[in-house]
Amino acid sequence: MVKKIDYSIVLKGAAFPLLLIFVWEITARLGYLNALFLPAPSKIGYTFVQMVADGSWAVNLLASLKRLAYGFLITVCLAVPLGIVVGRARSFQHWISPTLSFLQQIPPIAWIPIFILALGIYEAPKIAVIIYAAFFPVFLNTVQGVSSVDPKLVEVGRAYMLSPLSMIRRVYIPSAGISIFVGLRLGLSNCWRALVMAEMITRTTGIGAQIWEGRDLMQPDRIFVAVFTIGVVGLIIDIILKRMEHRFMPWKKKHPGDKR
Amino acid sequence: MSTIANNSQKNSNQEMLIQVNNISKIFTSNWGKVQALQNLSFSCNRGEFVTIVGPSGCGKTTLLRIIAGLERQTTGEVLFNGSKVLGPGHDRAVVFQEPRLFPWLTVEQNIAFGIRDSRNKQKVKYLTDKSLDLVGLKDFRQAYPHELSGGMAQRVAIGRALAFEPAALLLDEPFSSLDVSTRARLQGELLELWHKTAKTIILVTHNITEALVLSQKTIIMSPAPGSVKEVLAIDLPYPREQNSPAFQEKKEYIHKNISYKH
Ligand SMILES: Nc1ncnc2c1ncn2[C@@H]1O[C@H](COP(=O)(O)OP(=O)(O)OP(=O)(O)O)[C@@H](O)[C@H]1O
Ligand SMILES: [Mg+2]
Repeated sequence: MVKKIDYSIVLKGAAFPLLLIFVWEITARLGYLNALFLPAPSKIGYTFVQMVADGSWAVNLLASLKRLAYGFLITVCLAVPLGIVVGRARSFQHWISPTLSFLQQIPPIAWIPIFILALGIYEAPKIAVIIYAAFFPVFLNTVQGVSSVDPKLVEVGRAYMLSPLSMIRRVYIPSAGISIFVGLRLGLSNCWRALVMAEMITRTTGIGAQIWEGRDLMQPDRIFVAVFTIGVVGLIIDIILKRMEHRFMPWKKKHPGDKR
Repeated sequence: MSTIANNSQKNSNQEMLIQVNNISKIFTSNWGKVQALQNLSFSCNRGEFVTIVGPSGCGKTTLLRIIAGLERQTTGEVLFNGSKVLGPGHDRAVVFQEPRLFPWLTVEQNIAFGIRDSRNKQKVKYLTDKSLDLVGLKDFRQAYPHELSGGMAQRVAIGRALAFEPAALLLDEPFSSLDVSTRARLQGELLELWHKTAKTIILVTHNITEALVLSQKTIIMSPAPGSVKEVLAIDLPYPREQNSPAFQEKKEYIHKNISYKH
């Protein structure tokens, strides 16, 4: 029951970027822009095609996506079960929530030097940053979702003799589903941004490393290809998750205050 | 031969299913203690339709929840089929005052919620279809709770209880939030369902007419702390004729006996 794409909305959304690119191209061609840091869109496009052709674009993107997938999966496996346990034990929340609120204030990038010292510059520190970045939104939203489960529904589960495990699977998780999903979406977009930062600092492979590479080579067009790739991939990830949300939670459609 | 069959049927009809023995319930909260029930006893036979009436706050819900095993009595005991009630069981299904449906499940899935052997697809389908049929919601099996009216939602709740295959249905004012005509229709449906399934039913209500229309026996409770004021047998034939003198007489009798004053 996925909605058909409304083309007029797509058109409206695309109008502004297209106009911007158009103006940018014109001003660049007229020589108003410094090509050292603002190359013309056509030049960026050309570089993009070249990078696709020589494979460097895909290599970096795949490296980043692979890290994202691993890191995010690990986070989900840690944060969701932990969130369910903590969400059910209310008293436990008093013990840990101040600590969590404190940790949440620290941006993942602040930990990168420590992670590098502890874990080297290859995959481990990047995965660690991703986990750190995604953990809090996923965990906190799961806790929130589970602890706000309607006790009346839990009682129905009890009256119908659900085992503790079925209770979690059939009452807590679906109840908390919307909240968990919000956490996953936030977590994933946090992941993606934190990963780019981590890659920029460790400068090995990936889309973030490509940005520094562009700077080192004094090729701003390569930087722009990377930057745009980051934005577009982030957008696509979010769209996919939104679609999944509607697929898995068809009952959510009519919730008041829910746009779309 | 036929007399024996008759006898055994009679015996099974007389068999005591639920025994509430001298229960009291005291709630302790931050601001003090509330005695909700005091030395309350009654019993209910297999296949019997019993209603519990009483003024608001007299402990009807508490009593039903204790029978359901969702609440522990302070003293006394509840016997179900001869054994002590220590918690919820497969032999009892509750229909709460609100439908309490799971918003993420369709009508059909909500009804199938309590089915024991949920891996046995055939059994699930059979019981779900049967329940859907009994509560008249075949055409709405794919609907979600937010797409249902209040009466339909309550019917789903009843269907969910039926699919659980309990010996007894425990209903807590299931129709109290419905308008008069929907209420009358659902009362009729519940009676029909009782005739078809021969389930034991205990229904809580504060509506005297509802008690008289539905039950064979009504437990009249006194105001808080709740205890049994009177057990009244309603030996009128079904369907109950509300304008008949006998009906009116009973109604007046209960009105006189049930004190709404605190
Ligand atoms: N969980 C609880 N904690 C403390 N007191 C409670 C609790 N549940 C019920 N009570 C008290 O027990 C008494 C009986 O409540 P109960 O809900 O059983 O009444 P009722 O007969 O069902 O009333 P109504 O007709 O309004 O539904 C009330 O005084 C109520 O305040
Ligand atoms: Mg009540």
